[in-house]
Formats: sequence, C-alpha cells, structure tokens
Amino acid sequence: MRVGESLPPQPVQVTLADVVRWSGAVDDYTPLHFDAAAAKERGLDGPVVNGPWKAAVLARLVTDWAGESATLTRLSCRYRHPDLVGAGLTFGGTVTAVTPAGGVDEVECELWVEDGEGNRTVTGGATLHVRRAQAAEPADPAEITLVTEELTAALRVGEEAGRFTYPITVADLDRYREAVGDPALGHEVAPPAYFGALDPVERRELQIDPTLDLVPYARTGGGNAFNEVEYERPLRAGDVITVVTSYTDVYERDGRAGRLLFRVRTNHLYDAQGALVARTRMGHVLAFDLGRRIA
Amino acid sequence: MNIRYADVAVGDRLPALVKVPTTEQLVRYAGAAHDFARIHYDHAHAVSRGFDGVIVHGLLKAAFLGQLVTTWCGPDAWVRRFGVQYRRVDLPAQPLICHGKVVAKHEEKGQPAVDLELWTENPQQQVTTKATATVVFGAPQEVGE
Repeated sequence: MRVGESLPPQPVQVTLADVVRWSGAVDDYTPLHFDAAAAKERGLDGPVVNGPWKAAVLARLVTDWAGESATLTRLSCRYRHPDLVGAGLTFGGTVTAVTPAGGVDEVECELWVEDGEGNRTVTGGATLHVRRAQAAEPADPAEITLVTEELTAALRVGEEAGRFTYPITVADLDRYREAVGDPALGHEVAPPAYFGALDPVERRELQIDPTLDLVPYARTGGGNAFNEVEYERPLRAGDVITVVTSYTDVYERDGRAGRLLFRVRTNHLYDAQGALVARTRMGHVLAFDLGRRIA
Repeated sequence: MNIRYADVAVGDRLPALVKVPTTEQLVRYAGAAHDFARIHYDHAHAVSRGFDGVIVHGLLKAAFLGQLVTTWCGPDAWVRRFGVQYRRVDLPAQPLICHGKVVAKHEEKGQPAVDLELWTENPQQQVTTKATATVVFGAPQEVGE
C-alpha cells in the first residue's frame, strides 16, 4: 500500500430491500428511509438511504481491499447530502499516509461516496493497522514469549475493560430460540447458553483485536476455546442486564497449530437492582507461526 | 415434560437431539446473538482462513446442548452452571448429534441438583464439543433483597 493508491471503486445501486434490511438489522424504523409519503412530507423526492448504511459499505470496501493482515482501527464519516433509494452511488477511497509504527504500518485512507452527478455525498476517513509479513528468521521457539508485559498492559488484565447494558425482551429470547431451533417459544426464562448473546466482545462493542498487533508473528488461526457460566438465578425477559467485562488471564502454550495464545475474559452480569445474576468466563485462542516473524 | 428428581439416576442418558444446522440458521443465530464474525456467513472468508466453508458458531453448539438439557429437565428445574469446550469445528448441512448423561446427584445450596456431561458428535463420530452442566431442581433462590 502506498500513498496515492486508489481503493477499487465500488458502484452500488441502492434498493429499497437494502434499506429495509438495514432498518431491521439496526432496529431503526424511521419511516423517512422506506416510506415515500413520509419522505415527501419532509420535502424529499423519495426515501433516503441511511447514512450509517453508507458508512458500513465504506468500511467493507476498506477491509475487503486491505485483506486479512489489516485491522480497521478508525472510521469516520460526514453525511453531506441525502441520497435517495434507487440512486447509483460509487464508493471509493485513496491512501493518504503510510507510517511505520511498531510491528505494523499505520495506513490512513480518505473515503467518499459519490452520486451520479459526481457530488461527494459522504466524505470520511479510516485508519488501518497492517501487519507486515517477512521472511522467517531462525529462532528457538522455546525462547519466544508472546505474553509480554506490553501485551498484558494493553489488555489491561485485571482492570475493567468496559460495561454495557442490555435489556432482555421475550422477543429477543424468541428470536434466539427460533435461531437455535428450540420450540419452547414464549418462555420468560432465558435458555442456559443465552449468556453468549450478552458478551460485548462477541457483539463487537468492545474492540480488543488491535492489541494483538503487538504480537510480531503471523497469525494462522483461532476462535473460541471455551465458554463457562455460573448463574445465581436464570436470566429472564424483563431483565435489564449490565455486563462488566475484564480480561482476567492471558497465557500461551504450544499446540498442533503452533504457539497458542489464550485470552480469558470474565463478565459479571448485574440486574437493574445491582444484584449479581451471573459470572461468565469466555476463552479465546489464537495460533501463531513462530517461524514467520513480522516487522 | 418435567422429569422428577427422584426418577433421575446416575448413568441415565438424555434423549439425543439431532441438529442439522443450515447456513440460514447461522445467519439467524448471528442476528439473534449479535455475533457477526464473518467466518460464520462469508464463504470466501472462511475458505481464506483454511476451512472448507463457513463454520458453526461455538456458542450455537452450546445453545443446542442447552436445549438438550432444558428439554430433558423441563421448566421446574434450572441450569446453574454450564461450561463448554470447543474441540473441533462443525460445518453446516452435516448432522450434529447432542448427547448427555447424568454423572452425579447432590445438593446445591440445600436444593437437589444433578451434574451432567454433555457432548456433540459429528458424522465421523468425533466429539466436537464437550460440556458440563449443573441442573438445580426447584425455584431459584432470589438474590438481593
């Protein structure tokens, strides 16, 4: 990636189906986005494309272009003009800066959405951390430690990483049961694995992956390793649950797939009265190839 | 169905639950659990990560095992503890068989309780998920005031 490089421009013909799906996905049913009469009352010629939808398409443009070795760490958008559903838009961007920083290149991009007349209806920017792949250098794996003080500090092990509040409704539980194929619809008591739907990291509300840029080896795989819960009482519809997340353990061991880095986070789930309802432990594992050092 | 604590014996097997997850089910689960990791719906991404295709969410397999338990114990018992370890990935359109057995009966804070061992098995009869659960019979004791 070099300064001046263009991201492949992406033409999109926005359909009503796109904005309706978006309304459902984000639970935003402002009629302006799908109701022609409501749009007309506001003096517009038709339903207006949601701004955050355009931001989401821009984010996808950036991450598809940047590939697996990059992490998107910043995205900003300014919505300058409304776009009407049915419009032909072009999503694009340009690299404006590349700065080496530790084990990564920090890449700045300018982003935009252009309508059929060439007006930029959205302007924005993004920052990426791009890991550099380099030739292997001989090293004794036994002498390599992934869990450095720097990594532990970046994960703020033992400190609160964030707190998020999630109300639980019967509709939430039924949507979950329908997804699982559990016929027990309408029950107020949440299914036992429902704690997994209240995890800020799974929900991407708590971002922790950028801290992994501190690990200077090629990542070869990973996923959830384990999930555990202990309930003081079941979760129920009507609960408004505040989840307090902290990283409680980081450790490594050698496995079939290479050096495995485990990160364990603990969630405390409190109800509206502040009483503890459940504690969970969520274990995630990543595999690294110690023969492929980057940066 | 409500099973009675007195009728539960160590060694009892839970009636097996067979799931054949579909890609639609993975997308529905992603929406219901707000888990939009691409590995579960983006085929090209999954292939670039070295898989044959999209993979089933670990927490969806946990939910299947949860369903196995709640279907067995009924609404008059509740799950106090539940732990799941993911051993292998599972692909959609393949049967995933959920098994369970009773390994202990004991008291949990004065209430009758049962410990279960749970697991999912793929068509090659490999264990892909291992779990344990503690089920308490009777109403939960209210916390707080």
